[in-house]
Amino acid sequence: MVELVEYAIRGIPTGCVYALLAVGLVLTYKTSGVFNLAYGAQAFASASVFYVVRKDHEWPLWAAAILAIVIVGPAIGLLLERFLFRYLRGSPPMAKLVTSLGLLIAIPEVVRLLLGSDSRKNPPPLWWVGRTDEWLWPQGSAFVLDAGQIATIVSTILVVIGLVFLFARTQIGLKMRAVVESARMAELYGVNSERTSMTAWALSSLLAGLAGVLVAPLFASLNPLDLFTLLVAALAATVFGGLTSIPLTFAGGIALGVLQAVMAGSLPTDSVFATGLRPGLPFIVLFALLMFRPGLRSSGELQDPLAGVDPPPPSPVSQDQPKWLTRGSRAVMILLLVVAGWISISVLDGFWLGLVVSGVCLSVILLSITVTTGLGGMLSLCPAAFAAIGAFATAQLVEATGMTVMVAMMIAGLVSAAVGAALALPVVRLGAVYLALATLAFALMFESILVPLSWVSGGSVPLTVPRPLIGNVDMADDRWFLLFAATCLGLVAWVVVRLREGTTGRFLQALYMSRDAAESIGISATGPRVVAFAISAGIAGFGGGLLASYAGQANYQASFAYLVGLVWVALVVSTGSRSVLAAIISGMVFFLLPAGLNRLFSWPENWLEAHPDASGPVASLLEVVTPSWALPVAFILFGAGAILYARNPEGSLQAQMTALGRFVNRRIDPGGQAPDSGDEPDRNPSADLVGPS
Amino acid sequence: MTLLNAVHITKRFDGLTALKAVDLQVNAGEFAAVIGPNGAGKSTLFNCLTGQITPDEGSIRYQDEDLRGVSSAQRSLLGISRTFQRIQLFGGMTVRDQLVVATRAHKQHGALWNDLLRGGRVTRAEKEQTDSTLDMLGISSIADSPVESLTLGMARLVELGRALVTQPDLLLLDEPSSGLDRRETEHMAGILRLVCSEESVAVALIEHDVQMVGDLAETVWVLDYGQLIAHGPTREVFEDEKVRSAYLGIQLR
Repeated sequence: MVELVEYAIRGIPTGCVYALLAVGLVLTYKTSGVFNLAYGAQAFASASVFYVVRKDHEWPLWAAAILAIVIVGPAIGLLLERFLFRYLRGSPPMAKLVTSLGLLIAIPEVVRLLLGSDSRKNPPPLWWVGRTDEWLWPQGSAFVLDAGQIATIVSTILVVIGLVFLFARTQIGLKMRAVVESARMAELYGVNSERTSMTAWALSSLLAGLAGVLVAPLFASLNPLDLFTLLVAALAATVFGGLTSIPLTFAGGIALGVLQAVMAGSLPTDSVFATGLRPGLPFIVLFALLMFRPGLRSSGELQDPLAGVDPPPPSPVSQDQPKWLTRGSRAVMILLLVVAGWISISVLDGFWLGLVVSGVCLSVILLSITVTTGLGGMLSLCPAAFAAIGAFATAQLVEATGMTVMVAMMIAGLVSAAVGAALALPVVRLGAVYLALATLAFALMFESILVPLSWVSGGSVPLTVPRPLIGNVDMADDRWFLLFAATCLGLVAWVVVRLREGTTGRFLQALYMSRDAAESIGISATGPRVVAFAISAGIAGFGGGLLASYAGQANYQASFAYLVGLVWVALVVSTGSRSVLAAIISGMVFFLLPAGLNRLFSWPENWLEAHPDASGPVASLLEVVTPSWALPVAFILFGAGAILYARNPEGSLQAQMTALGRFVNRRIDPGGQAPDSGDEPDRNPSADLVGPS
Repeated sequence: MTLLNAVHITKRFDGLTALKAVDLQVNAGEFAAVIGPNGAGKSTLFNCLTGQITPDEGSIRYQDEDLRGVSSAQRSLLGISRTFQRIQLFGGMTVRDQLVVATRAHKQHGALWNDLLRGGRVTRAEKEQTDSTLDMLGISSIADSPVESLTLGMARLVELGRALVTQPDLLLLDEPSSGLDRRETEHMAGILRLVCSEESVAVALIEHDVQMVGDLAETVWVLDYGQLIAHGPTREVFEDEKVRSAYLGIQLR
């Protein structure tokens, strides 16, 4: 018993870390209405700046802290507010979520480009010593806190007290809440909503910076993935507080830390429970809270009370695309793909051909995102987990039974679909933000608990997956595999198009546009969504098997890590979540863009080598550019696409098509009404209404 | 025959009691109206009937079946259909699509296999069925327009059409004339009368237009501050003193 108490007390510092991150997220959500997934990335930016000035340039503590936390943190927040989120206030929660997803991907890469991408070992604590364990308190006693922990505990308590005071007692706190609820309504009462919103963002970003600097010493080296994973763990506390209550969130964070410490201390160290459950615990708690916390489901998303005076939101589907354009673009698309395939097979060398084949396999996986997000309107953040399930199942089936790979891939798709259906049953009833969080929790539960198990992933050495053999055609040749993968892609694409145009697609769209109305005509609120989720998981699983078969192994870290899945989602959603072509383009871009940029950025180096006597400003400019830029720039571009999502919710591809359709229509019939003129006040309602009677 | 029988419906939102032991009966083929000032709980009552919200107390029976635990969608399949005070059409679809979705929702077997094997395009039978409904509503000219282009009056008719193609026995209409001009209101009233008398659909409507209620409704139920203050045949209720002071004012003779 005494031991248990001791473990519990040891959990308090960790709990404070969770609480600090969670409270910051609640603050952002309360004051901006954005569930800010990029919070971890903002924390990373401040922590990086702190690292560079404190450790590389050896600034004094106070100066480094002021720069990183008080200047850089709020500056990022103000930039985001001024240029992005100000314009997203009335957007649906999904648009805000996708935007923050794009930032999550792009910000760390921008930081890397600006501050250099070498690894930063042993981040310095927010204390006047070089390392956290240089200063311990109380010395010699059973409970020893190091400098970093004391700083965290003190800051967390101060922050919580400050925020409770802010919201309970001050004008500005009240204004912030009013502006989130309805900026227009608040303005009618004389609140300067822009200034209030900027204050809110500056404040929450300051907290993000503080959290980043405080939390960084917990890790051996500074990297955005660790911070983001920690943030997702802290989400459990956020959800415990119902996304609004700061004291409850604080309590939730502490409870989570204590629970984790007690479990770590009391469970046997060598069992599955200890290895899997300890790191996975926060994600399990998060998932369970999302399922069972009372009041969460009914609380829904914030809605502007003035929304009633708005025109209805633009639909994700564009109606004003003429039929000939749909048919024409489909014909052109298929023609282009065939030509591209022919070029790939006959012209490309091994390296580029390999990327193209990987792109085709990935496109199959990405079509699963088309089904959940495009057709179903559900932002599922775990596509990589389902692809991994498919890859593992394929590998295990082939190894255990010796069946052919093709059959194994199909069975793997069914396995993945079954898991998807099981996950969907509780999840699809949630609102957009909570559904995204629940799927994110699932992805991390899968990664931390199931992936390490040998009956899932084969343990530390990736399982091998053979290539298919059809008759006497050996797919070991990449060109044959390309044909095979393209055929699979074609079949899956056909299924997706059929669903989209069919009853299932219509039911899903009806549910997405108005759940109440859809139910009022007899569409089950869960049925079509569970079906969509299961089909999507099945497609992802099949695609995962395909990709693993091409790669020769089911390698989780290399191909299916959860963050990779987030990049996929950002790519597909920003290119066009309902479009098959967009999924294919995204799949290709994911592999070809980094490689292409690598070629591009190695050009200056090669040129300088060829002209060693070159000097002057051009040469010194060229010296800066290195091939190591390729990956960060590619990821920044991927992220930027998602950031711009809110402007074109139907995706950039569809936006171009719509524009083309309008342009051609205007050319053909310059005097006539363009089909997009629904908002022109030239209709006579009653004349249309009464009709020919 | 009593089609719908709601007894002692109570609904509280935190501190606010929106409905206090309210009763409502609608007979088959009857035209009933629920009236009352804004905030009286009329829409809340409808939402309880269609299952959008669950009442805290009371029971709802429909054709002798207890509706407790029956989802909105299932209630629609049983024959209760509705429209909304704030238009709830499915964006991104044409007018015809709205109706097609509704007809398909009512014969929902093997949707997935049909999609994969046959494709889900609009069939000729569906086109004829929706055309006849649109004809009846007098809006066949806009069958292929996207719903985003509709005026409020047309949108309300499309919502009514969407509810009608599910072939309900009970139609709940939440302020069908709100926001419409006189001509549109008359057109709507004509259609409602037709629906009730020709197709013997029981209609319950929430309405502020007293003249429309007087013209159409056989029985009236009056809510005020979440309580049922009067009900009965329209003429009797309109002459009731309590109703006059709560709602009608003194202008009505």
